[in-house]
Amino acid sequence: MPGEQTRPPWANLEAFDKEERRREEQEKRKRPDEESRTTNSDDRDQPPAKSRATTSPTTPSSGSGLLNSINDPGFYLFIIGLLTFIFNEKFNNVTLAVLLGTIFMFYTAIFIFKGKGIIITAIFWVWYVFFGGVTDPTALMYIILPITLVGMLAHGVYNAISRRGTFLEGSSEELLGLIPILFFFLDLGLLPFLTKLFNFPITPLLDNFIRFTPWWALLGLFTTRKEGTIISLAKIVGVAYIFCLLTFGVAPEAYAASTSLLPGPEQFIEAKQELEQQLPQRENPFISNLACIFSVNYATVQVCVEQRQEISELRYICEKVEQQEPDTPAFEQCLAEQREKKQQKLVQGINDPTITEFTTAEFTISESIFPKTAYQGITNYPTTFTVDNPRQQQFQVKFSCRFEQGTEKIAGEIIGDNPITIQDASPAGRTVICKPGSVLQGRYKLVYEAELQGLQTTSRLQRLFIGTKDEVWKESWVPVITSRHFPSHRYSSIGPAEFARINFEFGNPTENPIIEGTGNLFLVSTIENVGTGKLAAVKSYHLQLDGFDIEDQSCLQGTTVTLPPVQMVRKSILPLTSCQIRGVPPELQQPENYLYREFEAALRYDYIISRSIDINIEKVSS
Amino acid sequence: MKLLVLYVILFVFIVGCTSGAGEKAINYNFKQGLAEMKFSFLSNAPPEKIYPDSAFTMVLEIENQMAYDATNLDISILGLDEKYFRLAETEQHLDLLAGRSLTLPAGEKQFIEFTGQSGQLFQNAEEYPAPYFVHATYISALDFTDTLCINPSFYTVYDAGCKVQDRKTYSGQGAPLAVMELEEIIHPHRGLELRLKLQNRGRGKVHFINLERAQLGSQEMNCEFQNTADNPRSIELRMEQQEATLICRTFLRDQRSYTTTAAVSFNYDYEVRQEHTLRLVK
Repeated sequence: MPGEQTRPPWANLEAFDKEERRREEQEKRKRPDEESRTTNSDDRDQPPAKSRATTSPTTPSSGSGLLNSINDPGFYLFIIGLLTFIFNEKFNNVTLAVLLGTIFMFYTAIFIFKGKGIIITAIFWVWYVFFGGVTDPTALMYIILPITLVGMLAHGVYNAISRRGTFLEGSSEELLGLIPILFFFLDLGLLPFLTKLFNFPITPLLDNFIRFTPWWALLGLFTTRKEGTIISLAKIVGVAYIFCLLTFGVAPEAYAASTSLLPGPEQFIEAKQELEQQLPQRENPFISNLACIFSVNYATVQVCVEQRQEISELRYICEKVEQQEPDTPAFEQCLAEQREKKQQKLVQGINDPTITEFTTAEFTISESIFPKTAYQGITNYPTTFTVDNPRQQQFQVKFSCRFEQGTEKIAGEIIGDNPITIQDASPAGRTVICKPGSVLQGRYKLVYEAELQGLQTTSRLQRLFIGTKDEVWKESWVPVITSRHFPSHRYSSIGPAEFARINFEFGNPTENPIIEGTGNLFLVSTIENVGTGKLAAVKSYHLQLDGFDIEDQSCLQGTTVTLPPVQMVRKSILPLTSCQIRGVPPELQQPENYLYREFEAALRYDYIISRSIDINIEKVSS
Repeated sequence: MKLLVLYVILFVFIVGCTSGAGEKAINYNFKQGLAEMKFSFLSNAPPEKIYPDSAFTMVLEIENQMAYDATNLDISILGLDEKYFRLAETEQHLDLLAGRSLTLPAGEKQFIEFTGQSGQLFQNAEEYPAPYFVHATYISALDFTDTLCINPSFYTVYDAGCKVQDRKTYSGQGAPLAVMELEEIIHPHRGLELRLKLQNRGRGKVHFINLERAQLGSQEMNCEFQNTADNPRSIELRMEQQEATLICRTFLRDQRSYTTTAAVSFNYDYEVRQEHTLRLVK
């Protein structure tokens, strides 16, 4: 029918809901008749006293009513999804995650969507999990879209042939299969992966969604069809939970877009683990909200939640990272220090838009030749290490590898030159072969590491010096020169988006690019890990502010900087010292109009790139 | 021979009668409409792309399209970082640039050169876009002249003389600063009040306007700017409000209506800035 042709896919969901409700109502209407029939037959066959006893199991009692009310595929998914969410957090195992994801995906397609979308789900699963997917950047277009079309076509044809509905109804119903696929990706770690890929800043909102969202449980909860007290209560709690997650943060902003490969489950899990390692370990916002609602008055709930979140984060750092015994004076001092550090202003740098080629390094594993499954004692593991060194930096790369099984770590041996020196500009791929240090058996995580020693990254900062000017001049010039020289309205230092960099800014306040007068400015600087690896060591830093009268010269340069373990990973920012600038150079003090100047700061450091892959080593049978 | 002389005389007469450019110039009133100084770089000076460690020249063409001379011109290039673009001179001065007149209908034009040397790009940056400003300040003048009908006999409805126009509007006087409106108010016992509304219609900014002379016929008028602090004959304009009102008063001697000329002269300082970009490329 023409009207049906224009129906959106979700209209089928509504129709499906209506149909389900209609069936349930019909069943309800039938039930009293059946019950009455049963009771009557009992009455006929048995004496009255006994009939009461035998009829009691079929009469709705409070217990069976409760079970009946939660007898809903969506509710089951909610419960099991919640349990696996709680316990899977402890494992972070790729195989287990994929297995559970597969079960939930098919469960959703079969029991919740009643087989609608099962073809898409099945084809997707065969392609992605069974065949290991493909790693082509255009895979989403060339694979997901055809899968969807094939699924729609097959379902439509089936409907038409079996006369269960129109072709269009069948094909549009099949689109429901995309929902379990989406949740499969979300559960595996789609958000952390995208965060890593697109360099999203981890806002509190994103942080909450990454760590505290039981995706399958929520899908189950909001696809329940029965109306019961428990389900309604669970839905209320679910909404409250989502509300609590949304309490903090704002939508993220993408810094840069880039093309990438469609990742395998390992990369999703890896991204999730990596991101979770960097995120401050805080109390679940839902628990904070609950605790605060019952302990303080309504007006101060928000403040209370924020305090609990902050305290839980600081307690985690002091207890787990700083290894302090809780509730001791040292622990309290640690809390105070961490609180002070948290309140310090952290300068975040900007990726230099004019530097499009920067130093990169990565391990790539060839799916075709890498022995994911091998036999004991006879296999070495090759990978390719590629360095792109457009600035022709000279640095050393020291390789290492290890095999991890639970808490056990077995060192491997690198075959070939190690370390190597890099100095050419052209991208160079080198084969790195890892040989197990001892006889292995079972499933391991093979971790390759490359420590890039002696890297240098330089950042630069621009400032406008206006000297002493009257209000009329400032009114006329300051907005114009600020917008012209800083069109993006970002006033921190800029640097290449590679590994790590030093960020700095000065002024009064430091983010003000207009330098007025002759001094009384403040300088702040930080070290930021902008790459995907770990910052292993800071060898030295130097801020080139020649001619400035600085209160403390150590502000401008330093040698080895101690790195706290939690701040070595991606996106972390390590504050350096802040200090006062007493005076600017004479030539910048009284310009006739204004002067625009650029300053540089260099960071020398070591950086670790790693790549891990799951392998299976089987025993050689004699 | 007589015929030849006749032909020559006739030719001279005919040629002399045709309306040439000279006559157009003579008849043309330069002090009308909006006109201002024009600043533009010659094509390829500076080049669109500048390579590292190379010399370059920026040639600025300055054309005075106003009907008035511009004096004390200071032209400077602002906002370039010496690390990337080092100019030999960042500021140049011109004493006078004559405006359009009968003898110079196109206005005076000057070329000034800024020579420079480019530096290196930052590490392996693809380019360095360097925004900068051409900044010019000068002093110029503005003359306003119009014929007004004055009718001192306020209550005389029937007067065979001219007709008073209470409010007149103007398109400009050949400068960026212009008298845009004139209101004529006659007080029965106190005389005449002229209200001149000045407005900066150019792309730059006026800082000060000074009144030089204000006459009604041969009679000096007593004028003052509205909302001035110290000197009533001078006003400082705010950046966001580039307009001023001058109020001139005079007593009227005659009792009948008559036409006369109102002439008001100003000088002002003007500031122009233009945004440009130099591009240092690999």
